[in-house]
Amino acid sequence: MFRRSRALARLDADIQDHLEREIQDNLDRGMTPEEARRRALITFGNLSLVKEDARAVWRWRLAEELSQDVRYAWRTFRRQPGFAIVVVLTLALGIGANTAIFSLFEAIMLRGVALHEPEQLYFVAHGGSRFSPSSNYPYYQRMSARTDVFDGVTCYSRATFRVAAGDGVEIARGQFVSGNYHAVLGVPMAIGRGFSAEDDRGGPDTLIAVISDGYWTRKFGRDPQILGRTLTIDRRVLSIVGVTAAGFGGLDPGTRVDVTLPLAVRTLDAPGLLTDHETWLGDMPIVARVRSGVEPERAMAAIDAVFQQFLTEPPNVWLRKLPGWDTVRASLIPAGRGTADLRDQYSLSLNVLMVMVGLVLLIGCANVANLLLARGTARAREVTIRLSIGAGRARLVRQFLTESMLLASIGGALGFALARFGTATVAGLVEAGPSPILLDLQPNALVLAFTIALSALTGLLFGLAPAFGATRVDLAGGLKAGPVSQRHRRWSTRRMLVAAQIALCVVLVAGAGLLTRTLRNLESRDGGFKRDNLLLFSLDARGTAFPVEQVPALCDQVIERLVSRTASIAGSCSRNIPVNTRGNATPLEVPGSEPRVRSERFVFTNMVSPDYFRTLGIGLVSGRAFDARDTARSEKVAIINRSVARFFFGDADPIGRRVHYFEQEANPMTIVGLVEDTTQRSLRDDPPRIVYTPLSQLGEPEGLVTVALRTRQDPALIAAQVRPEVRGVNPNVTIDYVRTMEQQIGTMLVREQLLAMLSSAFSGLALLLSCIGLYGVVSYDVTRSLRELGIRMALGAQRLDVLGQIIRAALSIASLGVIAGLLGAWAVTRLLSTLLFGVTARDPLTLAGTAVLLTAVTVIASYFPAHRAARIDPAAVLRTD
Amino acid sequence: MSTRQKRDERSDRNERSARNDRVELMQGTLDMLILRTLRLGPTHGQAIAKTIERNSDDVLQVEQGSLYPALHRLLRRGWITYAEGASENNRRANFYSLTAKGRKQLDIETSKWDRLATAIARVLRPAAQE
Repeated sequence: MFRRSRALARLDADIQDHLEREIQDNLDRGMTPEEARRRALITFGNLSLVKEDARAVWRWRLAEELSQDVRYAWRTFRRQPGFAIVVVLTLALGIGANTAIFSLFEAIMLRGVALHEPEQLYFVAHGGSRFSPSSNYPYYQRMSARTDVFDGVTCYSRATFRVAAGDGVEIARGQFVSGNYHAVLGVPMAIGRGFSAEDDRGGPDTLIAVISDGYWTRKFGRDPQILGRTLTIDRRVLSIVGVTAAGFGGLDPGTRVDVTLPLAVRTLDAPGLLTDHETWLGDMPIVARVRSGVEPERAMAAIDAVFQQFLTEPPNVWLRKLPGWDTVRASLIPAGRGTADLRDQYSLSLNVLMVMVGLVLLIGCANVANLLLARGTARAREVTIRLSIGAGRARLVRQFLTESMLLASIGGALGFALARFGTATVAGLVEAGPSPILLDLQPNALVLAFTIALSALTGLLFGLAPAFGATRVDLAGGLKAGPVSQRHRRWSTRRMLVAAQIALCVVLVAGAGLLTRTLRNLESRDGGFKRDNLLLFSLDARGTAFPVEQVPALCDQVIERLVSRTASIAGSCSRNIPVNTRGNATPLEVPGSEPRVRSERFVFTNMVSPDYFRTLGIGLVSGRAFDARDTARSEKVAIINRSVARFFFGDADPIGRRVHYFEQEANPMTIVGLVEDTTQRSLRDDPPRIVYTPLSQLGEPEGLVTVALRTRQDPALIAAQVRPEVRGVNPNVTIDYVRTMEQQIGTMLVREQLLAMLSSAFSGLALLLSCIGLYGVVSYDVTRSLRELGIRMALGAQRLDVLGQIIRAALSIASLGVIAGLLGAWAVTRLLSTLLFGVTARDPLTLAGTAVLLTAVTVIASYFPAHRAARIDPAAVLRTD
Repeated sequence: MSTRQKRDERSDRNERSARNDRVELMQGTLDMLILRTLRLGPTHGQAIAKTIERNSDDVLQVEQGSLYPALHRLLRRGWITYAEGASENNRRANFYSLTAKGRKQLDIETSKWDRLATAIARVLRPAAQE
């Protein structure tokens, strides 16, 4: 390679020199300069052809030698298929696991949205670097006016649509978008068109819809005549005008956009939307396409000017009074990869998994390097002969590296295929539950490039040392001593490799132990309610013929029927349910109590039916639960949890005190009961302050409630009865997301399950590989010292002594690895801190357990070769040599 | 191999039409002649061509087009090596020189050639034997 590039670098200069000399000779013969030059060029012939021919000389050699090497390597593997199979399988598992995790990493962390020039897209946000979707239509309009810095500005609003299907209603995920959405973002269309930038106020062309490729496939069987067909959403008939291309999934990674409707459709129900300044907290992200050539700083300054101006408008001045809003500034956040929610949630976990899976591959590499080193020793004779008859050392190193690369490529190809099973498992896990994370994990060019690069790196990593080691032989000695030359050196390298494997293994096992204990702790955390034998489902009357005001009454009928038909203990209905429900929060006012800052007075609110506390098993501390006395016309009552009592009343008895919500002085409530705390939003959070009010006394009608049923038997067995029983009461309402409480908690722990499952799998694999490595080294050692062992046993050493000696030798390697590993774990596990729950990063129990496990594994791995050694017949061994 | 041969033939044809009063070199003999020339001492490309022509009394015409691929072939095999140096008038040029390996090869090639030439001569002029 080196000679080639050097020689070719000089070729041009060389030919130039030649021509100049020729010209000079011709001049000396008396030609005119032009003639001299012409003759020289004619004599020389076709310049570029000559250069090409000279290059071809080298090209040929490389290709020739490479194919020679590959054929030779292939023949070698054919002779020792066991070796090749072990190496290829080890690498396939390692590379496959890495590819699978990288697929996930790529899909969540790296993938951009499938839009035109996504790097020019920005979210308009405010309040630091965190994305904040708070906005409203007037604000959006003022942003749109800045055409000096933006090519276009659009907005969208996530929504769940109830689509008529057969005799019921189906849920579709989707969004309302401003009319220019498809044009500004450059959304690729499969067929039809996006919305035209018509007025969001609506017009003759308002009742239209765009659907996604996935929805087109699922619901319409990819009907080519899809354009003009209709969807009925909330009893409005919308005609489909386009289908987005397969890659498009909106700007919120991990979520699905089945149906997109114009914002104008939303204004039919909410005419104030376009002019209302009050809906500031509406979920309506604004996306701007910055003009190419405009620096982000300038665009940033422009939108901040709009923002500050907006806050001075009379309807908006109140915003300034919100905590932290006196200095808030607007900013632009790159939107090329969509919103950051999913990335933020998974970033650390994915990095941890990438490191873990990388360590597994390193352990695998150490095994393969060890095998190659052992094989190199066995091949010392071959190498010596080849060097003696004139092979260059570089040439031999290349031959060895070709073998490594060939093994790595086969392992990589197999690993790429294996990875698909891995990604399918992971995808199944994250797609479970009511808010599935939808990822396209089909292998793509980037993943393939990763696998190829990783395979090449792996080949170099495990091949380099053995290649140089094997070719560093003393020619005379190598031939004389046969296959056992270079014993001492090689042995120590191999020992160090195994110790390193065990050290990495300790780090992995300790990490997996911490993550698994975190999952156990969260799964068994007492949330303040009884989680077993609870069946939950959503009852949704919105968008149906059923009047929303009558939902509480309907709930009573549904619960009564379900409790009697399923022989259950109790049933309840509430707006929110622990765990994983978005809470509604508002400041609580307690007249006569110590005044506090408003931002500190926030409480979560929940509206519940009388049997809520009994059904969920939430303990009543004092006072009473809601009952039939609490009607729409009776005195307004409330129940608070311990946290509210502690915060607002301290040690005083809260029962009988009167409180009201922020700006609800007209609706005071009397506290009639005190209940235990419950975790509400996440199992990790401390229980929040919660104020409960009766569903029968609520101000605004609530169309969507969660029904809970406390069953006597396994609630999963009853799940199938829910739909028909509710139909029997009322066929119009929608039943969605029937699940047990255990299942609901499970879906909250998807990330923890993913981490615990994968880290355990990886450490299992690492343990297995280290075990094989240790076994290999001990066996090798035993085989080579058979003669010595034979002599010692002939001289009277006991079998048990031999056994103990070999296991002790293995333990000395292992203890070096375990100590190094524990130090490593001590140093790095704190990076996991934010992922852990109920266990510290340097949990002594986990670390001690890991050390014990590795020691046990060492004893097991070394027992078999030790046992073999202890059973040798000294006479036979001594005779054979 | 075949690619290179084709190329050589192609360039041979180009040259042949221009000058057909001289004897063309047989395939492979150019390599030997270059090695022989370099035995006299390191020299640059154009001088190699000139030396071969002069020493054959201008009977052998070195196709300059095939000189450089041949030089690179010899470099590749490690029979010659080169260094940059200054020639007459202080001009910089690549100086090719014979390696130990090349020297050995030249001996082998020369003896091979001698046997070949004798053998061919026997076939062509059998009478001369008697």
